[in-house]
Amino acid sequence: MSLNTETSLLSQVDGSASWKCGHTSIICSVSGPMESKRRNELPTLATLELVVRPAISLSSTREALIKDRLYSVLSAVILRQLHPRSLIQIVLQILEPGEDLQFNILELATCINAATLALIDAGIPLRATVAATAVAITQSGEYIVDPTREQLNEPETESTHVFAYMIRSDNKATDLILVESLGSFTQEQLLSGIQMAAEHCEKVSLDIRATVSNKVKRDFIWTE
Amino acid sequence: MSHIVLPGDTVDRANLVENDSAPVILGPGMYQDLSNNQYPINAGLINTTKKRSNQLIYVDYNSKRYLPAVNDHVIGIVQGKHSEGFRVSLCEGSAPVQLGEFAFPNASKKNRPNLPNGALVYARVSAAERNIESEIECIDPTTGKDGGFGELKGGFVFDISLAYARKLLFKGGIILEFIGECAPFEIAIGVNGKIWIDAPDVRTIIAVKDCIQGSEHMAPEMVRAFVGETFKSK
Amino acid sequence: MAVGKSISLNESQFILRALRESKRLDGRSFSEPREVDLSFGDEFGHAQVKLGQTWVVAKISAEVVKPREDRPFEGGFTINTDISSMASPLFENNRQSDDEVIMSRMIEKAIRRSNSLDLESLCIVAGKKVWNIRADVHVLNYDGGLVDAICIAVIAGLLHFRKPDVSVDGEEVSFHSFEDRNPVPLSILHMPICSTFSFFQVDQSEDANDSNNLPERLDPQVVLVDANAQELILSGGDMTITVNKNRDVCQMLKSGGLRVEAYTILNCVNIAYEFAVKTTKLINDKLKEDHAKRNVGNIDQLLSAENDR
Repeated sequence: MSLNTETSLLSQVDGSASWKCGHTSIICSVSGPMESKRRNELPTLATLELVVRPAISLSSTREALIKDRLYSVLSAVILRQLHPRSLIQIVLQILEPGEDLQFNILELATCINAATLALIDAGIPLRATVAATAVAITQSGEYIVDPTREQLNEPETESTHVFAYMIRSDNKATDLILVESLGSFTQEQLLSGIQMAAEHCEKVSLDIRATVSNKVKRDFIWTE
Repeated sequence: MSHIVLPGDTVDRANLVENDSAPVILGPGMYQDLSNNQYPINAGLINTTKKRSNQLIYVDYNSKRYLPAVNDHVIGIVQGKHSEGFRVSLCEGSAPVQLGEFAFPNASKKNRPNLPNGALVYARVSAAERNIESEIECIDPTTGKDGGFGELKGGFVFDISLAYARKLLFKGGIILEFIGECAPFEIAIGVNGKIWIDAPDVRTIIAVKDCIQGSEHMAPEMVRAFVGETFKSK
Repeated sequence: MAVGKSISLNESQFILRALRESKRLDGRSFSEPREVDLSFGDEFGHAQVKLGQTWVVAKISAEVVKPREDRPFEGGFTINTDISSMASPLFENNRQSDDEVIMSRMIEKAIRRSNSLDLESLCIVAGKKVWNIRADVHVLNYDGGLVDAICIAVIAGLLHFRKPDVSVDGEEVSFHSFEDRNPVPLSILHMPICSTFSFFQVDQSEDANDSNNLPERLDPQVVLVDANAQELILSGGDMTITVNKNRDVCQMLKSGGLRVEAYTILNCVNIAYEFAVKTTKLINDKLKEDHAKRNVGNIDQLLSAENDR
């Protein structure tokens, strides 16, 4: 699957990243920690304002679902207590969904990866990096990582999953942070899916590392 | 030797610190959680320096959002006046900081400083606590004189990234020398990513601005040619 | 439209001083718009426009709906411009400011009300089924010139878009997939292009000693084409002119601000016309380029039903 990532591509926000994997393309911006509105202020934590915007038409329950899952992942990984009473604003713009309306796994996985990169770019304190991957399981028990639109639409596809791991201590997928599954599958299938996803998330984390290394090298080009 | 770390990476202390027994202080970009694990929380270059008998470990990372820290030299925009002083913005969208009306040399009840809205000040951060408003002052606390702080008049101000501002202020830069060879100019660098410059004519100010902004991501060996070209094209 | 970023006195005085010396900070001349960078995405109807640092994306989509009772032969066309805080943290999420409302009205007038999209061609079965075309505009980065950039993106997107072919047999309507039959483009009647002008009162009295030494002295009023975000903050009034390459003025809006001589406006229209001609050519060139990329193996000719005469 072709992967294309970029950081610091927007000038007005503090951090930004684009993540294009196959036909799914998402751009994410992060601003903060900024001054929060009084009514949104939390006395001990930074407020997370999260917006997920669809490529076509207005935000619906579909985007609300992605936003909800994303919120639970990000609020676990951002060290929000370091910036109390402030606001961290995260906007995800889906440019190309790469899947039909009844699915959202590719978008959710890509949103998580893009947000990780953008948060790093903005210099928001994080416990770890997060890598996510989308998996489809077919009737015959085959696992397809990052399925295409056509593969998802096959009647063979029985269940779809998104797994996200925290990547700690040098590219090891140690802590499972999100499992989102839809369809019918067995317990064994889910467990081996989780295991397989760990491997794949480690691969994704290498991509994140490569992108971030390029950014750091560019930012500190003057250091010998 | 510094190398690139990402949030959550393990820090091999033995590799970084020469004297393993010295107490370690965690600087910016490092964090110790409740179970005493120490790890970076930002992506950048991990560095160590000796601070008296302690070892300081910190991550040098780039960002655009300035967070006040005591003793930083910053450039702020006056946003308003209230009974006890001025409200100053150090970074667009961040909470404003306080500039007390007595935080100027020779200020008294009779001799109040007067700054219009939109004025630029060069100041030192005098208080920065997580839960209260930060404060800045235009006075050198050791001498009680202005120490170069105060209102910046005329000229032009623009934004650059924070790591680049720190580099220009602390390590100087060949870029500033090269520009100096082309034209005389005045500069004030705020580590909040704001740079104020002044020169006799508009052409020079624009050229200096283009040079500093344009060379941010440029390899050091290209800078001289770039500065020359920028000045020639103006 | 300018968002209320706090700008220092030093900056505003310097920018005006530079304007007095006929200089813009980015090195452009007063009547020089920024370079337009147009590209298309993988999907049909996905157009990206970069105008300096301003970056907008238009996505065109189509669905079948029932037409309005009073217009049974016409399809629908809606443009959605909602700016999120991705463009700049100064824009609020899920809330339109007055400036944003004016902006979306302006785009509506420039494209929809100027009849650039032929709505009657969107009819499938009169009174029953018509196409509704939707343009979703996403502003990714803001640096002035929003209306100009959005207008180019929407027009380019409409020209790039393909809707599935339809065959009608009495009341039966069947849609053909893209693989089955070559999808059909929309019928675009003309291409309106917007140019925004900003007026500045360049006060001479401010530092009279200084300006006496200047080699060229200007009129106290300066007109800038395609001002960037910083210039827009200081602008005393804006005017947007929409023209196409046939020299039709489709829309013009100057809401308040500085008084402007009528002759200046004529001059602006000419500049807008030149920009429209240049941009129209750019859009057509880019469309051809994109078409060539997709048309691998000359599929078009194989699918075409036209005869060489």
